[in-house]
Amino acid sequence: MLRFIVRRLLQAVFTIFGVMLITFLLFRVVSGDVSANFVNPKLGAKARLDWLHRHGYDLPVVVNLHRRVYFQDRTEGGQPMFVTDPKGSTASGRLGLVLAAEQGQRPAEDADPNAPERLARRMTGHYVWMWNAKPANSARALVRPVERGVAELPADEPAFPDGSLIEFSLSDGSKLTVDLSGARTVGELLARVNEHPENDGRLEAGLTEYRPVQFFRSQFFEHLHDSVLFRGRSYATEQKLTNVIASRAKYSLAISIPALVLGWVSAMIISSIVAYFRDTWIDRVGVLISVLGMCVPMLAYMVLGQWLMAEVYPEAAWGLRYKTNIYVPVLIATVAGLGGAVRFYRTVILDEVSRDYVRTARAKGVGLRSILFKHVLKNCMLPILTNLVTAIPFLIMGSLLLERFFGVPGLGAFMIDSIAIRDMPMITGMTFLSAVLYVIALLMTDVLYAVFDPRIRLQ
Amino acid sequence: MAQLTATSEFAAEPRVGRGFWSDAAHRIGRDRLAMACLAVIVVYAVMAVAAPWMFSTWKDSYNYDNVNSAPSWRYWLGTDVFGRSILQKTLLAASTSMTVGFMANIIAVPLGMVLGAVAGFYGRRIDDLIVWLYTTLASIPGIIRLIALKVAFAGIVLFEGVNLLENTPLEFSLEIDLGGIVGLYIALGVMSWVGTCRLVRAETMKLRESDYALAARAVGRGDLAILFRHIVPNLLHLGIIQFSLGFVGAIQSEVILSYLGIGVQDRPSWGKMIDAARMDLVVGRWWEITAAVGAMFLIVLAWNIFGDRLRDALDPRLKNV
Repeated sequence: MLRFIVRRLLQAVFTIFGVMLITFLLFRVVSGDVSANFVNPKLGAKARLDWLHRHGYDLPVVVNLHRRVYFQDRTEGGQPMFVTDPKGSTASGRLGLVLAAEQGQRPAEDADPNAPERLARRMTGHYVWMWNAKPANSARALVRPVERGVAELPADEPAFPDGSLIEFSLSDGSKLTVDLSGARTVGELLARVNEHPENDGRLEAGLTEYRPVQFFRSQFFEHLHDSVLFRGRSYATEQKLTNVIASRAKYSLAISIPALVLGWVSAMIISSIVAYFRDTWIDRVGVLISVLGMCVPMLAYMVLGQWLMAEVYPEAAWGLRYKTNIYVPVLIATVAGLGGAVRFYRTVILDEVSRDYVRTARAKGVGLRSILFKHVLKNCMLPILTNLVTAIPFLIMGSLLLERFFGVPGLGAFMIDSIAIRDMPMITGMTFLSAVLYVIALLMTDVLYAVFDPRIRLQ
Repeated sequence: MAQLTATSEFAAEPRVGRGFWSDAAHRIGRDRLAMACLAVIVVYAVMAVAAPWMFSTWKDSYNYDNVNSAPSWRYWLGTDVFGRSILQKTLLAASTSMTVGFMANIIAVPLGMVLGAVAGFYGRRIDDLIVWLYTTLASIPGIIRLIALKVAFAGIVLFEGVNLLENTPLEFSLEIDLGGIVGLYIALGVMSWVGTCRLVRAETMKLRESDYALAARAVGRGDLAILFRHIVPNLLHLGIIQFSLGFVGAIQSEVILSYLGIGVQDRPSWGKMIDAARMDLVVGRWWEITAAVGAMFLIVLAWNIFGDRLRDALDPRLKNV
């Protein structure tokens, strides 16, 4: 028994890892750069690069073998250091420099206290601009940030065209203009700055040291970390994922729990009745209605339900201002799921009725009613309960369609809004949440099965 | 003597033995309800091919003098907010749905069958991998799974600017816009093979141990030959069953995605019709939504019943499962 549970647990861990992998591939790799939805285009390319940096898009995708080029201001002034391009130059854009000590940037937990990022935080007047560079082979080829992460330039392409000037305005107000034209390697780039005749130690360019802990500072491992801890923050509102779930889940649950209970109870009652009157007109009518009900699209139920409500009691047709407003979505969710559920439960019950022990009981003279409700229903409970338990994780997300349609501020509606604006951390987090809950529910049903039905363990 | 004659008469017209497929066809052919549903499906399928060609001018047939008009002799199902015929719109949307259902299942069913057969036949690591893959996929709720893939696909164009047979009259572009309808086929296809895969895997595991698989092995057939020449052909009926059952799911998903605005973009869809008309009922315009819901109801009903009957005819063991 214990071995079975441990094995199932291990499987669940693998599945959850798989979900993280899929969400990573879909929302980080395939969908790529979503900054256009969150950064005002008037702020220019610089703001976009900053945004990408802040949300970790400039980190390497799988593992981090990068070192960064940093430009550190050594003058003792009070002003922030900044970088500009003299007219006709695109050098700083090509470098895609980001200010490491920017407000709101997530501090790197593994950074050592003397890393340029930290230095810049501690010492006023010392500002650091960072730029990603590849490791060991930094002298071989100059790398530049492109739209997605960092790519290497082809060896024969000059990295910086002629006239690539970059102007560093340092914290004491002095300026340093460096000519980068023709620089092709990172080593050359550093030399242009450090060996500039007017530099005099005011500005230092260098490569950050590579530390093995940095290996995990990649988009993939950050994603795993954030997923497991539910640490996502909305791109749009900076709200924490956990806060969003805490404040919105109740609305989803207020609709989905009553709908589940009502739906289950009514489906059980109807299907028992239909199964009891098997092969009579009641059965046929019941099956016909449930098939027809199954085929009516969910959207039709919603539109019709809302229209009816608007005719009868207009206040209750939209939003959640009145408590009565909860009735319509609950009723619709119940009715929409009833057809399929009745058909399924009826099949399960009839399957059980055709078994030998039922025939034996009948031969002994046990009444039909007693067989159906005492023996058969008890034996059908396992598949029916499985069906019920696996529905529980979907409760928290509620119904995407219903919540959006009836203006319920639950998680389902939030999910749809997040999708519309490509708010990736929220989409990822909620997809992951529902998958985890589902995996846990499956695990529970499997264990319950193993406890109550010893035959299962043997397989 | 009389007995002998009777026997010879009986022998004179021997009952032709029927194979598996003709037997199934015979069984379903006698089922009137199934045939009626098949007729509905065929009508929709013909519409799917004919509608885009018949109503190619529908999209630009604006008629601002006749906006939102009720059903009449000229417009049997009324007109929409741009004064275009809703009958034509509904038929074009039927074409969209049928195409999506077909393409999604053409991707999903073979994918599920091959993966399921390979997993069930080879077992061990390959099985573990494929089972892991589909358990993972299945643990993400259905509609979210689809939305996720559609969201990820938005704005991605494959083979951008690649033209085949360049500078010839046959030149055509290989561009595939994953944000469009092709993305929908692929999203539905790669997200709905799990059921088929499970079923085929379980059946393959049984057939792998069967006598004829053993006999094939005994005469020196290789693994691949046994799998794809002997086992998979015996599972083809499962593919057909899954194809018909999967059609409903694909149609419903397409409608929901289109309703949410992430399904098809540049052509009519029942989902978009419902979305456009959801406020119409309040002001008494019932025709657009009724047309969309009615058309969808009919085809979903037909596929549901036909799929069930087909399953019963092809695989009586699966009855009531």
